[in-house]
Amino acid sequence: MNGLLNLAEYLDRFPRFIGKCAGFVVLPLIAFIMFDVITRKIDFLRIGMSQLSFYWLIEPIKLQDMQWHLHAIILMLSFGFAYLNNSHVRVDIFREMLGRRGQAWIEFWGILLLAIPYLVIAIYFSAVFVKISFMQGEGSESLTGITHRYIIKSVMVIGFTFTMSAFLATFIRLCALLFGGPDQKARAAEALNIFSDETNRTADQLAAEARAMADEIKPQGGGR
Amino acid sequence: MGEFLFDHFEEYIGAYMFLCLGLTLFTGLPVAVALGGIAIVFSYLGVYFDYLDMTYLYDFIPVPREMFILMPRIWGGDGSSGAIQNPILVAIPCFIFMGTMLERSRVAADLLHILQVVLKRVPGGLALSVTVMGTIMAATTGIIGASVVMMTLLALPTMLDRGYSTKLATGTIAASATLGILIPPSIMLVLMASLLAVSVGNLFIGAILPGLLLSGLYFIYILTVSSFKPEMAPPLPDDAIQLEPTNRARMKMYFAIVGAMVVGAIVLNQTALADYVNWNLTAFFGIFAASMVIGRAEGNSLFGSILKGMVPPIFLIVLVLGSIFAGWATPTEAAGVGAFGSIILAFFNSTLTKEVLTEVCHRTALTTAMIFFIFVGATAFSYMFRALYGEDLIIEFIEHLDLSAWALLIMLMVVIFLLGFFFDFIEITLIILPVFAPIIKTLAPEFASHLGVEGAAIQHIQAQTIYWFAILAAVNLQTSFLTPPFGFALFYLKGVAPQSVKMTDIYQGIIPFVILQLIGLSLVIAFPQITLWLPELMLD
Repeated sequence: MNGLLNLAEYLDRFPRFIGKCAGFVVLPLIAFIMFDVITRKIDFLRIGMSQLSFYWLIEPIKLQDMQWHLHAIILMLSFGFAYLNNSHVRVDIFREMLGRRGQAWIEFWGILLLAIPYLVIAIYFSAVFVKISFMQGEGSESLTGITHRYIIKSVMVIGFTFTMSAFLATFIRLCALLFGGPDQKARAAEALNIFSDETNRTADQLAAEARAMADEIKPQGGGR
Repeated sequence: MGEFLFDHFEEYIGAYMFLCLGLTLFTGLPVAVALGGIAIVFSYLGVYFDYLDMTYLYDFIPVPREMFILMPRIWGGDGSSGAIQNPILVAIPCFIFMGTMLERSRVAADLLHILQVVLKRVPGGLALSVTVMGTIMAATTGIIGASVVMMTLLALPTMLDRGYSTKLATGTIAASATLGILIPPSIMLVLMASLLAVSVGNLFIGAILPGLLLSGLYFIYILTVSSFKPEMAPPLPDDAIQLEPTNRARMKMYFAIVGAMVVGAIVLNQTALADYVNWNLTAFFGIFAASMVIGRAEGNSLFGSILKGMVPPIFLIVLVLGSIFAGWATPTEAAGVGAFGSIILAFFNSTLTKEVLTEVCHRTALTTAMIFFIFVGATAFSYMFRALYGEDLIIEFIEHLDLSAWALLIMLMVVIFLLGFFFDFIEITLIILPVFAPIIKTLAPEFASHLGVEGAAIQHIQAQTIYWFAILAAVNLQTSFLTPPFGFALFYLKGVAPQSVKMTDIYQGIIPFVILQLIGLSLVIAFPQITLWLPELMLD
């Protein structure tokens, strides 16, 4: 079990790191939009730019393609990070009435029956989607847009894979929390971030609470 | 018996899919996972009931053939409303960044200060200043989580100190802060425009008057309550807000600079240089920079407060809404420009540090992921729902009810309002709108005389009806933030309110505002020109 929990830590680390990086992609996105707007709206810049030898690299169509490419990177790569942060929307009305153990059971079955099939299918078929794009040598819809569409399409595969890894990390921890010994329970409780009373808290508060909860769970726990 | 059950499931599989989704959502799993997972589970059931074809991967893994079409749906492109290759939706991360960044720059605090100064003699001045601030901030941000937290932290402690009733104070803050979801730029309207394949700019213009109508209703209500029941909103003592005397020399300097820039722009526009540089825009930025610098230097005087409080919101509103409405920029470009503007504002207020930037980027990633994971899940769900003839079931059901167009519209509004008690605007927009918008579209001719477009081409009537319906849904969905038990704004408010504020106070305080909102909704239903007049005026 401890080995699995170590694995969960690895699985947790990548989506978190990638998600944080994806957040910064919004800055180049803003920069691209600003550059596009400025060079298109101000006449002498537009005319001057079209004289440049590398104009083919920075023409408006390419910049506009680039904008949604960056958008794709931000959104696909941040799903897993958001799950680990418990930022995805949940309807908490009835869940709040359950204890943490009940919530853990719901999440356990939810991941097993819904999330994993969904993500496996999403990963496989987005890979097929990328493969088709690569085989066709798909480029942009417009003549001068960004070519090699399969590169940006592969963001989907990567994104869903990282999301899967976030869900698997949570799943392992839930198993530890539900079936593991006292030490593993404490360790899993500290790392988990799915419960209804935890949203909108800072990391430090969360850690403190998780430790308290681990103590509280221990007596009633005992393996199943 | 078994056969009967089989037939029953076969016929109503779409209905059971919806039912299952509802039950799964209430277990508290992430909404996006519930949507996607139910879609996959029911696609296999669909194969079992012969609705979908089965195919075998590597000759032994059975999957429904429809899966191959799912990914292109999620991807988008070709003008369809996918999540990724969709230039309209690029506006969403930018608007989220802008809202989160504004929360961090001191813009809201400065604005509230000057409004309190201006409105301090009016009964209920503090509450009114919150409403006005909510309206103005709504025109600069597209998200509400940030503005509720920001406005609660800024305004609630002061209002409670001054003896305002907790109910009035919390109700005002929650209702005013959620105006951001309706008054453009708004993320909800961007999503709606993408789903209904209508122009974002048009929806933005159409939402202005309904938004102002709601804020006007709040304003009148607060004014009435605090005039007749002064104990709920006691007037401020004269010395409540201290201002330093204005430095006259600096004021003169400021007006000299502004005058010089305006004259300079006019003169330079006459010269040959006007072909190369847009002098009006340059003067606009120059005046903005001068206002910010002098406002900072002036500090806490009346003149300084006006500059610090009023100039940044005006700057952003001109940058974002002005450029959309004047046709200079697409909404996506305006979002990017607005995000850049928010960075500039943070820079002038010297709140632009590495830590702030990092945190804003992280929050942007989290909020974007929250919206788009649901978007992806909802795309999968509604695709499978359609493949299992769920939509036909709904249409049959509505035909079976045999309602008039008006009864159907009212019923839809009631359904959306009731769903708002439990769900967030994202789920309702993404799941409900694509199903019901086509039905409203087919009924469009029956609304033609009400909308004042009888005799026009059918496409025009349909377009106008859809705009009207989208705005009605938007006004309606604003209440979803306010209605207990699951009102987002109320939770955010409770999260940052002082300990003395009880959840029951918040629940009771919000009731009058929800009623006001329903009045606003009925007004927009009764007088569709509130929505349709401004777009017609601006686009002709």
